[in-house]
Amino acid sequence: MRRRIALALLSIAAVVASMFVAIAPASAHGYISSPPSRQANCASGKVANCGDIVWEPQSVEAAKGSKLCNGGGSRFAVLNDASKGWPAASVGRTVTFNWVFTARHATATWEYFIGNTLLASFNDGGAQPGATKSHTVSMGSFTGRQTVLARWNVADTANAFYSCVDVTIS
Amino acid sequence: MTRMIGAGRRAIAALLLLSLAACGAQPRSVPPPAFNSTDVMFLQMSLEYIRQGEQVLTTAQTRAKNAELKTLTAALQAQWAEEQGTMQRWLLGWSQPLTADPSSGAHEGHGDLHSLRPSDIAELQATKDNFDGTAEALLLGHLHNCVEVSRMESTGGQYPPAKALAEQMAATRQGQVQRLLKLQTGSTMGA
Repeated sequence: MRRRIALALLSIAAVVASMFVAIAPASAHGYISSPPSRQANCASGKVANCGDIVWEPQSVEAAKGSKLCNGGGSRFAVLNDASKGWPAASVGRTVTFNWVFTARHATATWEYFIGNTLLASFNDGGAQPGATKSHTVSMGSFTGRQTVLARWNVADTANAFYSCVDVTIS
Repeated sequence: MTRMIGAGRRAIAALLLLSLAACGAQPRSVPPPAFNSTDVMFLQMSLEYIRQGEQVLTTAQTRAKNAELKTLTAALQAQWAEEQGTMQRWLLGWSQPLTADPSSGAHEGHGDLHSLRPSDIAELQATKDNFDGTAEALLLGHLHNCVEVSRMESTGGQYPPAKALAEQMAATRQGQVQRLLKLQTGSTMGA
């Protein structure tokens, strides 16, 4: 009898487990790895005391339209902290940004800003990214130390993924 | 009358014997290891991630230019082989399938989004320039997914050895993520 109950419990567990496999991963998707974004600098250990972001630099997901490095979401406010001493990568007049993905969402657009200036926008028309994604973006008339905000706007949700990259343009 | 009592006694004795035998079949001194659905999911998903990641490692072993990337992929390959054996042994011991039920949609539906697709492997194999950068980016994304599943086990799992393995895997993979991030900055910044 005990065995039967145990078996029944096991098969329930197996069914529940397979349900979870189908729906569990839902939080994590992508970020810019080079030049290193703020979350990449946290994950690589270059910047210390970043909190949970070190485990999931790909998870900076929030509603579309924000100009904040954490997307204005409830997590990862450390990314907005300008006093954190973020290292800036030395770059030229054009910069190639490289993305890392943990899930390849259907994509509306990719946008790159410095402040309120839109540097570039790429329309993927709902396509899924390939294995990797790179964009080469002109820094316009900006020079010196700047923070580039990249937004990956997902096609089939209301959300975007945010990455801030600190650069010194020369 | 005494005969009937005797028969009754014999019947009771037989029943007692039977129930004793039934109890004997249960390993009473060693209770079966307790595990839950998160343990099973962690093991099944990690095995699937190893299967997918192996293809990147095999390709990188022959094509990577950077010596550190080669060293890292060789070390990861050896670690995965060992982890795979342990994880399969536990699932088999629990009479659980080694892979999630395909009809659950794990391989066709949303779960697939957090996987390396065959097209990603094909793209890596077809890469002519910047093979190392592509392999590093693919591995980074993949290892982040591995870490996420390990951390899920650390918080939601029940079987202590599986939780310990998950802790160790998360720490090791995170170290590899850190090295890959440094490598990637080096290889793409110079390009």
